[in-house]
Amino acid sequence: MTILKATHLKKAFRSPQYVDVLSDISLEVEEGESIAITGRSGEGKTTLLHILGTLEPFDSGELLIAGQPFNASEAPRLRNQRIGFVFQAFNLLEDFSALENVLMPSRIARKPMNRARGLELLALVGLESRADFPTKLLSGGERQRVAIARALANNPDLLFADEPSGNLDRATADAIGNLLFDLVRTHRKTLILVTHDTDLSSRCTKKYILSGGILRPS
Amino acid sequence: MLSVAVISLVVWLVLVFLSVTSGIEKNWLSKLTALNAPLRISPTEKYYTSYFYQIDSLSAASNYTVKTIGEKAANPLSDPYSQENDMEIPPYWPQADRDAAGKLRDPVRLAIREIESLKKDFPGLHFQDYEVSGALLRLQLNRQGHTSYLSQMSYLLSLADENPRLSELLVPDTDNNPFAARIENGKIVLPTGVEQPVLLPKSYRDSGVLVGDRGFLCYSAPSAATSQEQRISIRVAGFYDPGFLSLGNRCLIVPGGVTRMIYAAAQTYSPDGTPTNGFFLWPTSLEELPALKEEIALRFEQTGIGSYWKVASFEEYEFSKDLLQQFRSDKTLFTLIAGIILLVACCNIISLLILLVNDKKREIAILQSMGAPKKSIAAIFAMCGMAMGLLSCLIGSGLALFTLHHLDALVSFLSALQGRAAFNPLYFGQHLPNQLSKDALLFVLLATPLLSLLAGLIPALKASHIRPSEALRSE
Repeated sequence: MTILKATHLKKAFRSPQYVDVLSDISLEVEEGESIAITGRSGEGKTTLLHILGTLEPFDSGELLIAGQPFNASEAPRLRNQRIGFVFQAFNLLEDFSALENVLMPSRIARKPMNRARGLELLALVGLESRADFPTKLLSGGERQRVAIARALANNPDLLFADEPSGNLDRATADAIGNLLFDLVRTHRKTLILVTHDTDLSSRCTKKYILSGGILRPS
Repeated sequence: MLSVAVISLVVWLVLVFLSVTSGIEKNWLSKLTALNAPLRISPTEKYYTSYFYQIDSLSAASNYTVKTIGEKAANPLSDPYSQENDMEIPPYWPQADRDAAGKLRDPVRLAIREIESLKKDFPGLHFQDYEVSGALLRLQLNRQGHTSYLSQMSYLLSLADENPRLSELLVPDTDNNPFAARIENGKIVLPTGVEQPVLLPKSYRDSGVLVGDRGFLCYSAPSAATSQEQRISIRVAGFYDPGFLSLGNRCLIVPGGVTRMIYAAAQTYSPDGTPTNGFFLWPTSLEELPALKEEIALRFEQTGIGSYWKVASFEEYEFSKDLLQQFRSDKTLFTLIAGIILLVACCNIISLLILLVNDKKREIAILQSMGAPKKSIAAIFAMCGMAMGLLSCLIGSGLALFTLHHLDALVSFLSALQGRAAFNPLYFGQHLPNQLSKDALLFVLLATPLLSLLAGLIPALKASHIRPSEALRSE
């Protein structure tokens, strides 16, 4: 089943100067697939990921997620229920504990705060013992684990990862990569990964290269 | 915290200022309605041109003298005219107003009957006829062998012993002077003697007049060929607080006999149009006034005497109308200024929260990436503004209560700093009012959170327009 379908997406930035970032992007992702998008810096990989993850509007084209066309007013609910993000810079809420970060998507969805569920997710990433730690006291690898646990909080269909190992040393990057792919496999998630890391991209079922605003299979 | 401190300070200032000014206004109103009743029924032009009023001037039974309302009420004869003995009625006089049975309609007795019957619906209602006259007061002040005179054209108001609040105005006599008026069962009792006892405004006491001082009230009585000066001997029986009225310092309270005597000599007209004769009514509270006024007008109309009487509440009195209008204008102006100051203080929230939004851009974007809708993000900052307003309200109100509770100490401190009274007692009273004004509190409780919420909406709008992609990318 197709979980995400992008057809002829275009995106240009108009300020401070006109830059045609994405000229014609078409992509079809099946449920359970893992997609790697690679390309040189500045080619628009993160922009594409944000567009596919409904964080950024596009100029033209069509985007279907789980069969539903993109709708700006529905985007927050979609992000909350069906999409999880893992960022290069972790993007945790530093004033909150690891557990509170993991439970935040449930809180936004106005679901009851279930500590057991939060601990279960932290256990999946091996951080149950750090549940009540403020995230600012955690190491980079631990923060990224918390971010992965948070991305899984509302049991989404789609996981978007933007250079998840970009800020980590090699060993930690490998550990995070292993964890991410293990979770995707065991929980049957669809992964769209933007990375420069060839080890990570080689583990994906499909690989694309973004160049000159066009996405091509590599 | 700075915003909360600034708004708290403004709330405190507004509450204290509005409470004190409202208290001063209440004090003045209280004195005004204690001396002059809150409701007045006075004869209309139709009454004065009626057969009923004018007939006394033709009747031997009335000593050919027009009568005051009180005299009319006391006279057993509604129609004293005798066709056999009295002069012929001038043809230009209006027809006598008679009922279906041909009996002369007596607007005074009917009015008294109707007002009396109102006591069932308005328990505690007091009423009494009053007279106002004018005379020249001449006081003879004998001090240490020297005699000096004090002269003043004065209004004379008949003592209304039915007035339940008049005794509040009497300045207590601490010297046990035998000529001093005293209070018995809540009513002022004037001393008896050869001279007529009079109560003077307390400003006379400040000018050196003492209880027991003697003098005259001089008025002119027109005769056929000339006008003669008449004198009534008086003795000062005490002083009262007239409140803040322009004519207050010229108004003497005298026994009803004095005003009637002057009225009989020459009918008194007030230059400002104040009715010089009528009824004063004292309901138990000012809240009853509109209903009471309406009921009187209705009953008078039903009895057929509506056109003889004008019913006016204290807001319509000629001598206080301007002052009360000024009170209202001041109140509106003060409230407007208070609102503007509050608005300016609440604008502080805008700059503070915009700084916060800029500071928390990344967190806002993270929440958006997790699916937080724009309106939830906006609500966080709008509520933040409102919470600051509510907190400021509580702090400011607490401070205001504390300040009002210790207002006398504060005034003493200010007076000590200045080396003179910080607030003129003649104008503000011996003590500044220190009761928290409910209206001011309501105004502050509604306006502050509302303005804070509005101030919070601008940063809230900014927060909701943050583009998550941009904010996350910049990290």
